Amino acid sequence: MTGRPDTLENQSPLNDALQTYRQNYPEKEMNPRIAPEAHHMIQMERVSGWSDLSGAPANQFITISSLPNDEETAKAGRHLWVIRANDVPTALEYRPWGDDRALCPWGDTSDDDIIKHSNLTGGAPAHSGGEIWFCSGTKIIVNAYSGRYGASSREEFELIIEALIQCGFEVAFMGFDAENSEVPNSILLGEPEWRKKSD
Amino acid sequence: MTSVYSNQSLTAIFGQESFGVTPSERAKSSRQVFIRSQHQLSFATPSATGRQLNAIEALTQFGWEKLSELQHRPSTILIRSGEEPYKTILDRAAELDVNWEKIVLHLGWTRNHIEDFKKRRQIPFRLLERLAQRLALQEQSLGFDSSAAGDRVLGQRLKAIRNQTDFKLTESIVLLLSESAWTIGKQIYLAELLKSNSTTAIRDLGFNVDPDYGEPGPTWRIGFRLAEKTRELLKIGKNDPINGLKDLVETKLGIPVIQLEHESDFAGATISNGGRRGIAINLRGANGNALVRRMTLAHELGHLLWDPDTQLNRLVVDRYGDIEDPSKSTTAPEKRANAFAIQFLAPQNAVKQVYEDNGRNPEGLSAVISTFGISKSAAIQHINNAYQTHEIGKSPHIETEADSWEGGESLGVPLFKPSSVAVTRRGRFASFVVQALDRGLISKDTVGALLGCGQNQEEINQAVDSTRKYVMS
Repeated sequence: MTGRPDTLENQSPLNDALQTYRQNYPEKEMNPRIAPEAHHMIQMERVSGWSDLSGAPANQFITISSLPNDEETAKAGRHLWVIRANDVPTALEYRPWGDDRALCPWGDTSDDDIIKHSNLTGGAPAHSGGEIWFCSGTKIIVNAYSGRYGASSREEFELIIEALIQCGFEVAFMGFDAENSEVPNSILLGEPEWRKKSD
Repeated sequence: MTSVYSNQSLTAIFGQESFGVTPSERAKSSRQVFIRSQHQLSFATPSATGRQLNAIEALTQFGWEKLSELQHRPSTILIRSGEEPYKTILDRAAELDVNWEKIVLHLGWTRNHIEDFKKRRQIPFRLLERLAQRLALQEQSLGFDSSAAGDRVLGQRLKAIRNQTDFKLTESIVLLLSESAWTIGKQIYLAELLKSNSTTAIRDLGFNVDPDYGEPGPTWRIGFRLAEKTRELLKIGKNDPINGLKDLVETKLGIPVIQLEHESDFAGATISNGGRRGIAINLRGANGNALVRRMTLAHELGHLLWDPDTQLNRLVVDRYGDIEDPSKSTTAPEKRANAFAIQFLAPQNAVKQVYEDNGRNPEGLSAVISTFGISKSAAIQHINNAYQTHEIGKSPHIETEADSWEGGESLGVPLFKPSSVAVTRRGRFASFVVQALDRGLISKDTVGALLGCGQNQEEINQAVDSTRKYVMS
């Protein structure tokens, strides 16, 4: 199903905290290197499994037991998020659709088992996008990794991290590639460096 | 994951200017540059400082399936586990029994880099590459697949030889030998990439290892037989002198000869790294004399061509004493290699003829030395063996012209610039590197990494120019 995103105007703590970020970094068009496949442009309905990341604690998401420090461990429990005008839809990337095929954003039309960031936006512009892992309801690991909406600098993403910290999360950031600084990391290198609101 | 070669996918990876219907066709005409970091591969951006690979390199090293991920993602992960590349490097250092923290300080690492490495954080891939080369690891696969681990048996052999009671190798020799092993493997890899027929030369010429060491019975006779057989297979006249032995070994036989410098009694080594065999020669010590160096090279050639894998066991290391005074050889392979060397360079019957034609006196000895390019001590021993008596009792004082043999056995190494390029990387190795660059098979950044110039463009250009001028011309 295509059409306008299922937006929800709310005054969540995270939305408040993201105000400065949204003002400084307006919505941008998708920037794919290659035209996305049709089923990755279909807007997910809430019932298919996205939830608004509104602030800590965020207990509705699946938590991880291993740190995402290689391709396999990163796959487990990886969620995609985007910052839209009024919310931050977040959903598990790999959903074992199986019998839930009917709830899959693209219904029964594809064998694909994963969603893309564009499934959270229907292909519409967004401020930013990335990946997130929940160690608990309040402890998260994030990155700016998105082929469609990713932040292109540490400075930009720092505002997002600050916003997450402000609304109660303890945050570890995967960073950018030290040798290609516009490219975000998609795995954790070394131990996570946790940041939280100082008391 | 898809490996369908759609035009859209190929263009997304290799760029609009590329053409062809397969990834390898597209890669040849692509100007796309990729950045190889410790953990991932990505498209180059203006601010990138990492190791640059051209499209052919990226495709050759990682394959289309990996590259195609970049259609949809900013990068593709290369490391197969969070423990890499640390585990491969640390395991190898332990295998060689070397102190990696001490080594890396000479390779441009800072203490912060060491700290980051220990904490599994990101460090520049160039620095990992330098360490990998020193430890004879396959640097391009580092962290990506298990082939990066290198030849484990070679590692174990180097460690075992270190602890031998009769010839202990210092850590510095072990590292030189391990880096020589890397250079040998890399040179053959480049030759394969260039589809050079040097890679099958030994087999094509009809050489096959020979397990006969003559026991019981005189091993020297087997060495002589193999020397004669070698001349026959190389179509060298039975009694002809051999000029330009290094060139013969490197060009006709396609065997990498790595020249290195170490102040010790280490003369030479025959190394097999992952099935790729080559020779390392120490330029210091007695090998500084071209006549001695030829004998060392011929000795190692005897091991390389004729010792089975079970005997070679990845590595044979020879001291000057082992080669200069064959009576000191204790093992059959060493005795055979010594006999091979002298008979290959100076067939005994021809030596006797030259000696007698020139007076059977010091002039005769001098003629043997200058005709066959062997040292005085080797010539005396060979002549005495020919007559089966002390034909030459006391070594006469004669002038030997080692300098006239120097040019043919040196391959322009002393003239190479810049001096920052290690001796081990000059000569034919550099030639293969520049050929690969000229054919677009490797990036200029890779040239810098292979020759040890790093990112210094001026030094890379100097090294390329030196190679064209002194090695390839």
